[in-house]
Amino acid sequence: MALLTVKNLRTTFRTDDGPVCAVDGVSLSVDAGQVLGIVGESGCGKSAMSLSIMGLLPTSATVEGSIQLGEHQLVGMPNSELRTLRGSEVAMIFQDPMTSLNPVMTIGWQLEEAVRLHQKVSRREARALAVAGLAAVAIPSPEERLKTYPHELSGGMRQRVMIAMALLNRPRLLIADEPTTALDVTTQAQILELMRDLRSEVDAAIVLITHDLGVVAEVCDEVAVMYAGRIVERASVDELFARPQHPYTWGLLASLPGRNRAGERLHQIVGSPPSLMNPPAGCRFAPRCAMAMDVCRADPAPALTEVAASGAVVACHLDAATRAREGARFASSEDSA
Amino acid sequence: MSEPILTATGLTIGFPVKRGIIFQREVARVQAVDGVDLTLHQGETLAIVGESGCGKTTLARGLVRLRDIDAGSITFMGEDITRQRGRPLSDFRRQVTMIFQDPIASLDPRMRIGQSMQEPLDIHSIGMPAERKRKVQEAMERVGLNPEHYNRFPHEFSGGQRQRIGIARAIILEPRVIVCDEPVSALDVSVQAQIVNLLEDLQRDLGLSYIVIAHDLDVVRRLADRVQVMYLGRVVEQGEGEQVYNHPRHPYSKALLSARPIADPKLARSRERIVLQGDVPSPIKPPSGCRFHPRCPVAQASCSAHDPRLEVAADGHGWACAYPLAP
Amino acid sequence: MVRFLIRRILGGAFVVLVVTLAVFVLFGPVLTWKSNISPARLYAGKNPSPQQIERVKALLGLDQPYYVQYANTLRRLVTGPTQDERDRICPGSTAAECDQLLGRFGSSFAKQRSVDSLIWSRFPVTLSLAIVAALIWMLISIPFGVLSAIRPRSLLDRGSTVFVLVGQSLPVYYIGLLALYFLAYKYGLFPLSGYENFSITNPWPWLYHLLLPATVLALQFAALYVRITRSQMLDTLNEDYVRTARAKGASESRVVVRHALRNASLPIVTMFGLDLGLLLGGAILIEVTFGLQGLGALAVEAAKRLDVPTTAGIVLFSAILIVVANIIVDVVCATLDPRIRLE
Repeated sequence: MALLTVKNLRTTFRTDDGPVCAVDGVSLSVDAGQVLGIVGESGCGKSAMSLSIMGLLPTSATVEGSIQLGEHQLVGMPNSELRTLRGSEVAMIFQDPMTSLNPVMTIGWQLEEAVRLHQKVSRREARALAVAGLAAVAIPSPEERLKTYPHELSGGMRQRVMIAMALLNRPRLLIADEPTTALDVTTQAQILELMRDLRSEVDAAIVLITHDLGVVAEVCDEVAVMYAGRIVERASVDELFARPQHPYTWGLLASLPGRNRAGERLHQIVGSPPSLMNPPAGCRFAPRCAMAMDVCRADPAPALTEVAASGAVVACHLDAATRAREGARFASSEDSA
Repeated sequence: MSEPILTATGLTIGFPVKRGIIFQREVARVQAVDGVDLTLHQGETLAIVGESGCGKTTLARGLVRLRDIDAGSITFMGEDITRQRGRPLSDFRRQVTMIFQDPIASLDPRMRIGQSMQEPLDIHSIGMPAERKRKVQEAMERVGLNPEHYNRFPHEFSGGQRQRIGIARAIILEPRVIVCDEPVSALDVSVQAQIVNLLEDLQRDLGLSYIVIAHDLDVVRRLADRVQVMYLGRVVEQGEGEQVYNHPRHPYSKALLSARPIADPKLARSRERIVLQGDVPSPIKPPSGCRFHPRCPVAQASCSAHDPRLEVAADGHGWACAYPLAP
Repeated sequence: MVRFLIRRILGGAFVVLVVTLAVFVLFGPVLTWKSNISPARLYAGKNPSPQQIERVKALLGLDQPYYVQYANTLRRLVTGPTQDERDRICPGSTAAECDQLLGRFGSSFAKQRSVDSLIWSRFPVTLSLAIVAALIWMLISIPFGVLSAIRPRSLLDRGSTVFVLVGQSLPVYYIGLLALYFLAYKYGLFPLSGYENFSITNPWPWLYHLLLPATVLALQFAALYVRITRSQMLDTLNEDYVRTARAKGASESRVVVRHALRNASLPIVTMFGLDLGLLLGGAILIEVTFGLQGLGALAVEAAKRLDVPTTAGIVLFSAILIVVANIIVDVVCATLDPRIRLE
């Protein structure tokens, strides 16, 4: 039984120009101790989905479908009840550590608050937990850090504080939304290493949202590729990189700057992602897809179907042989060589 | 190798540190860029790579004379432009233009993009007004924008298209050199490739030379002919792309290369990773000796006392390290 | 923090110095030159003879070169009148009598009193009015601003927008006269004019006399402050750290009060300090409308009677108040936001 099961999630924002469906029928599940990566470009709905799970969407948004976290059904749960789960059962780490901590409160105050919102402990105990939390994310001299303000810490340190804060109440589900995007490369490596270390210690299910396939390859077990509000491909991480199935995934893999061969032109996906206000009919990737056929441009969109003998699912009209042949060109070097 | 088009020698750019109760006096200078040499040849791409605080952006701004130079010199096509003013400076700026990281912030939101792109022509009084519009539309076509969108506003474009506008604005003066400050790091992965390809096409067609500033070695791997790796205001390693990428000698370059996540799960699990500890120290009080020694995985005792100079071998590969890694 | 404070105080002293110079030049040489109104002539009473004027000039030191006069003005402002001045201007009177006539800000032409004693006799009225008004407008604007930021476009938000428009577009004397006519004259709920001194044992008469003018004064400010509070809160509620607080499971009221309000309050505190400083120099329209004998009313009287030292004294006094308010604002902001202390 998966810890988190999302079924047919639809998140719609009311705007002045009409409704925008940011998440359009997404289903996925994560087990405890597992890291699910959700990959996609800006505007693909990955952040809207994580905020739907957290119940942190503005009032202009409506969420339909089902989000089952353990014994709790989160869709339709009153906000007061949802609040008791936030920060305890499910915690979140955000992209920009520079702006995600309150600038006028000390680190200690913010950590202790996180503890005392969910645990009936004295200030002294909350403090001890905060110190332990900072130590767990390898922050040197944690006692002294409690007295500092966020602006006195570097970006990497602040992200460690954010992670410590998220883990203080031992959540069962941790959502990390682009946790390393705002960081320098070597700091990103530190944070990724920390996350790898922590995943074995905290027995939580982790949903990692990112645009970077490299980050996915480093820390995830399962991957879901999102495009324009829908999941186009879902597979185990090894499977995805060895036998990518969807043309959009191929494009993402090919446009990674690190893996192309010198002298060869970078593979590019033409155009830019569609507006969710007015999404194209049929497969939403069809207008940018080099292999699109007539059937791709007409409704209904291709459904997620199982790829034989791999456990992966893909939403694409191309036949299995073509996908296998084309996909091999973009597979990670080890398997294709 | 052809003639150098732009060279910098011992370039030093600092920020003042001020103290005082009423009258602030300068008590120290932070050397954001500390004695950097670089040479850009006609038609090549030089990448300058380093993390935040390494001085790469200050260097880029210094190279186009947007910041005052404390020491050292910049030579453009044989002419010393370090302290030029007025006409010669404006001529220099016509030939050395810039592309910025954030295409949204670098476009005036209330100005039609045609006007934004035409502004450089107006400033340098190039051509008749009617001719200017034609030139802008040619540039738009060249960078893959629809010339009919001349009268639109920046918010009507996607991130990639806005970066194309920024590029069109940079090439409209027909420059010799473009300094690109993180040209793709604000863009989505699939759009990054489009912009990298566009920059390559323009280089080939217009004979441009690029200086590309980036925080990440991977992003510039495609573009760069030569690479300089910076750490705390200094160049720690330089060389041809192949040399730096495949045979890094400085431990920092190696760490930077190995820090980037690899998009291959099997390789990611098996490879040896160098994860640097701690943060980049403050340039106000740089560490003694080799500036990298407190974070260096192979530092020796002498590294804290001895400040290694950048030694460049005959093949152009150079590093500033007393105990370089095996090639 | 101490360095910060010293720097601000020295900076403030410098501003006051510049203001004294400006006031001296405007009310001394410029006034004499432009309008032919010699201070000595004014001081000498009605239809003075030239000899009388000369005598007054000598008495007040106005026959000295301007730089000496300015130096004397400055010295008097800092240390009070010297024994020499006392002997010259009020010979033979007791120290107490002389204090009534001489002060740091000089002596009034119109009344045989020092400007100091005039200001200090009027200042409690203005101070009381300003404090009561400030309390009222903050009590209105912070809750309404916050509530309309939490529920933008709600009925409350729209209502407060209307209030803002009405409050800002109707002049105070108009609302003041309406209030006086209906609430004080017609229904007798409030006194028509006047002021009672504050007393700890029974503050009611004091408050009773101030309530109407202070409320009218407060309405004008409240309108502005509701707007600022609302926009600051709206911005702050969109900050990432507010989202973090919600993700931690903090209740909405906790998010608003503990996380957002403190961050949003900086510009409000800054404006509040400056407005209060400005108000302490006198709320002319309100004081005149409600017959309150405050600094504003004094300034009007002084200007009408060409009482140059009093007018100059009030200008200088208000300038000092604003400088002091500024320093207090800086200190409060630095305690609210740790990032400011660094500078």
